[in-house]
Amino acid sequence: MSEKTLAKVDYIKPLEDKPYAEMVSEKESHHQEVRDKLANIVGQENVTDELEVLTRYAQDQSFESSGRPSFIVFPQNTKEVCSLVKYANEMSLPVVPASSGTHNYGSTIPRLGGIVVDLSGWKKVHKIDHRNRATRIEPGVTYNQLQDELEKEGLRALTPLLPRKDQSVLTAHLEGHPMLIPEFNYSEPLYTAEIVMPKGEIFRTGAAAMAPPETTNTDLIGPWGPGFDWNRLYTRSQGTLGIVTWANIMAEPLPTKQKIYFTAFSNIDDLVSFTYQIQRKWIGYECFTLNRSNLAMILADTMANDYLELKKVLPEYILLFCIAGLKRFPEERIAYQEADFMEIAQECGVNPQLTILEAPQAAPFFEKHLRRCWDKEVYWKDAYKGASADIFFLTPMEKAQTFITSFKEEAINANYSPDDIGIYLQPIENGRVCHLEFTIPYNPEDTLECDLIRKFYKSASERMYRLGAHFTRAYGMWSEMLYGRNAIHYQTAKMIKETLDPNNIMNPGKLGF
Amino acid sequence: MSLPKGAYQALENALGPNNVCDDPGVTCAYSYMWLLYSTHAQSGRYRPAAVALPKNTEDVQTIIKIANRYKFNYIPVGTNLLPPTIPARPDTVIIDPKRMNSILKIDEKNMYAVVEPYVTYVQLQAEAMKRGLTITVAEAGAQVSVVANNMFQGMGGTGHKFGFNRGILGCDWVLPTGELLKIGSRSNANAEWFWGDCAGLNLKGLLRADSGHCGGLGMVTTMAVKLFPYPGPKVFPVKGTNPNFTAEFPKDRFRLNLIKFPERKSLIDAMYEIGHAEIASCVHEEPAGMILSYASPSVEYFWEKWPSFRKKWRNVLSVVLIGFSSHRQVEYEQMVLDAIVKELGGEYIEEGSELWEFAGDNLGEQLRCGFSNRLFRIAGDFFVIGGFSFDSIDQSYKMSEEYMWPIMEEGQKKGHFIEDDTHNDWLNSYQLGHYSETEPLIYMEHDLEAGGSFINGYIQTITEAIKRKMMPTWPMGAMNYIAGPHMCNYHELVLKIKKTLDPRLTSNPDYPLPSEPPKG
Repeated sequence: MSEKTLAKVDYIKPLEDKPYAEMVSEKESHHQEVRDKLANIVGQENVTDELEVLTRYAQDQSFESSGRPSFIVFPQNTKEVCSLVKYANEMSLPVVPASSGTHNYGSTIPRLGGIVVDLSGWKKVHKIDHRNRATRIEPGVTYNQLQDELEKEGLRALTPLLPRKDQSVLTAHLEGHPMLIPEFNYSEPLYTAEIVMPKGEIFRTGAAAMAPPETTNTDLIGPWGPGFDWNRLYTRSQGTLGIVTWANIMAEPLPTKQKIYFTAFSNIDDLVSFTYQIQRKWIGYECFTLNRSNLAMILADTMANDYLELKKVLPEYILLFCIAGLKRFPEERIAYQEADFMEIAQECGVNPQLTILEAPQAAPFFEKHLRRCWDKEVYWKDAYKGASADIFFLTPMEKAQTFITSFKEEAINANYSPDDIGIYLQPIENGRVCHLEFTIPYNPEDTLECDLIRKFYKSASERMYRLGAHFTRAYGMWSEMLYGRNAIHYQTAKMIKETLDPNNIMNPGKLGF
Repeated sequence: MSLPKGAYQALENALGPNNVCDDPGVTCAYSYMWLLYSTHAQSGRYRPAAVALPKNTEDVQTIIKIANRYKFNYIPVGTNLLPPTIPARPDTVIIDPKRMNSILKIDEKNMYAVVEPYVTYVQLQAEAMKRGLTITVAEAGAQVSVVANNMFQGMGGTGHKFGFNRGILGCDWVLPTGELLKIGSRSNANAEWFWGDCAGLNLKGLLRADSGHCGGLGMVTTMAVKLFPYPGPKVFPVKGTNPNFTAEFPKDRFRLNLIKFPERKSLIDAMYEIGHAEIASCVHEEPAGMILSYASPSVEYFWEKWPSFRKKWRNVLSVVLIGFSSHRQVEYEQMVLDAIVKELGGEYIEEGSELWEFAGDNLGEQLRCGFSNRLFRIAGDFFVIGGFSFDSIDQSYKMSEEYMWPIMEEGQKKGHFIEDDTHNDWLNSYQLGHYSETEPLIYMEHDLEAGGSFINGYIQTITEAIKRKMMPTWPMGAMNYIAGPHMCNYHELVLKIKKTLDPRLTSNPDYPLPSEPPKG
């Protein structure tokens, strides 16, 4: 198949024998022409090319190379998004969608310049459908905002672990962030969505395909088709196949009562064995494990003192397990699940408690924040050293020990203290697999440390991959690592991308094509 | 019916003479199927030119590469249940995976099995149960291919708890080029089969949908599928002999509830309440015709009982509780169910009562469907007038009442379908009531006019849904040209992708949809 050229930045022309001043003038005039057109579409006040703003979008919290966009636009409705995308096709301008306030993995850095379409201001919760346990939201809706709205209706959102307060719920769902409840249905929490396709036309998935929400007679629930499973194809595609403008996602009944148990472990194998058993019983809600570094970062009031003190006293791993009751017979529900849970604990010789003895603040903290965003100014992962990098993947839980040992070896090889590494183990689908996440705190002001961490990040990712880690998100350097080893997948994905986005304007280069 | 010159020889050379056949006595068997007989659309119109029996993935790759070299069509099949497995063109080779019938692995701890395309549910279920695991078995019958059903829809009796269409993990997929694409965790040579989603573009999305690609994008030769916890006996607890057999499960862990509601709307409300309470493992509205046909040892028995039975069996919800964690779960869930039933004016059909006797096997049937062949007893042929229109439980109810039953009643008036005034479907809750679909069952004779009523009625459920802006009955093949223009022109995208991956359009050419809309 023919090689397509990548989308152009806003001004690339063949070298011509012209005076430099003329070239600059042409470029400026072209830039102004594009700006005027964008302003025509979204309004003068919703397009910017101020250097300071562009620079903010040129990099994120990751180690990915920076790439400055030419414009940031803030469309106000789907029609404007369609017009932007159509115009971008005419001009071969790259389009990069962004919805969260903070970006962590390089997926919104414009590799080839172009326009960032920022939808973080789209904050409407269009509908809460209590009967069908669903809510239709815009891309800029954040977790606390949604949770507040849902709680009024006796519902709750599915949440990842203490997300950033500006984390887009829709992005978290699209990118497949792991949810704290290992119920297998929650691996696919998306019902239907509206997508502005790469050519600028509107497409809706599942039951929503029949008509827009305003005129449909469906409940926008059926997630399948039409034709292929678009929800799946688009999940984790990092905006390379279009811009999602709303999604109807799962919501669940809000517990009326709950008990949170903490179980301490000194080694991961015992922890994994216990987790397998409770998950096989299909009981409880939130269930996850943090190591002492992660837990100390979450619970410490001050990094200078509390963090180090907590790290000294906390157990190596803590499993958090929440049992909850719903509308009918909540105490009875908690009672039977508690009895079953305690039976397993006895068999395993472990001792779940309603508190962490060494950190009594843990129980009230999680009681309040389990399903909420991190609300302090500095994100918990960044609190210790100012910044952090995450490496995460899926693996069967039984292999967690192997990965952890190797990761720590790799840290030692890189002169990084393994004790500083945060570990988060999230069982998924009743323990069928787990999301294993390593957090590497580092000082972003220390150039030497940054270089060290960058190398460590790469070598540790490679080592995890070689050990059989399944990276489900092709972020930055991971995309090269994954596609570089799987030519057929790369080629097939590229062909699909070219079919749906023939001008390659949607986040070009992000997945290696 | 012939293949291009040299093609047959090439297949024989690759697979061995015993594994390729063009004997009309054999190929003829691949040109008929039950549903097409009733619809008389193309039944028996074309025999395949040959049937090829691969032994493994490499054989499948070889067959597809030969097809590309010699330019003939091929249809990868599973266990041949549905119309897409029947050739619509003469120069077609059926890739029949009869020799690929192994369960390659059961990972007990991580709850998945790796199977080849000819592994059936009955085969896998038996092995899974030995290990304290189970799988949601297609209601079409435990004799169908696990791989094919998972790609097609992945339906099953336990879908309320085990979900729908979510069963696929790692896969080996031979593309229409003959290249091998490894899906999910299989893409990492060291990572085994445990997960189905791919990084970057998630190509698993092209493997499955509301009806999969039906062999139109090559062939999946190995698939890992999800298994679920199962707290029951290691051997399926059958008592008696066919046709008078039943399944008895330990009552402290498995409990069947059959509940009559005064009206269908209350039954629907009960399904919602059960979902909100997050209880139960199987929740289905059970129609009278289906229940009686399952219970009938003969066609005469059915017709003798039908007039009175259909008056008594109305608005019945079947709810199976399973104690995954312990007997305590069953007791708790029963308490919640009792409260819901009381609130909504339902009434339990008592165990041991006359009505109970007709449906006492319902629990076993949800776990390992074996009675679906009995649906043919009533009149010789059966299907659903529409359905598989996935949306909310309310939507299932609405589409059933608003247009599916009126279409069925038209067919009844013409004498094409058996008389049924119950207005109950096989209406199903999936994923704890998060979504649903409904299937209004019709029974008819092997009769071309009745078949015509069926297929026209089926298509009418698509057009009626379009008129109302509701989710249409699943359109297969050419029917996508009816629904597509009203649903964001999805058919155009599907066809573009088909042409991208199968540029010669030879992998089951008419699926997921033909390259041109049907004439007329």
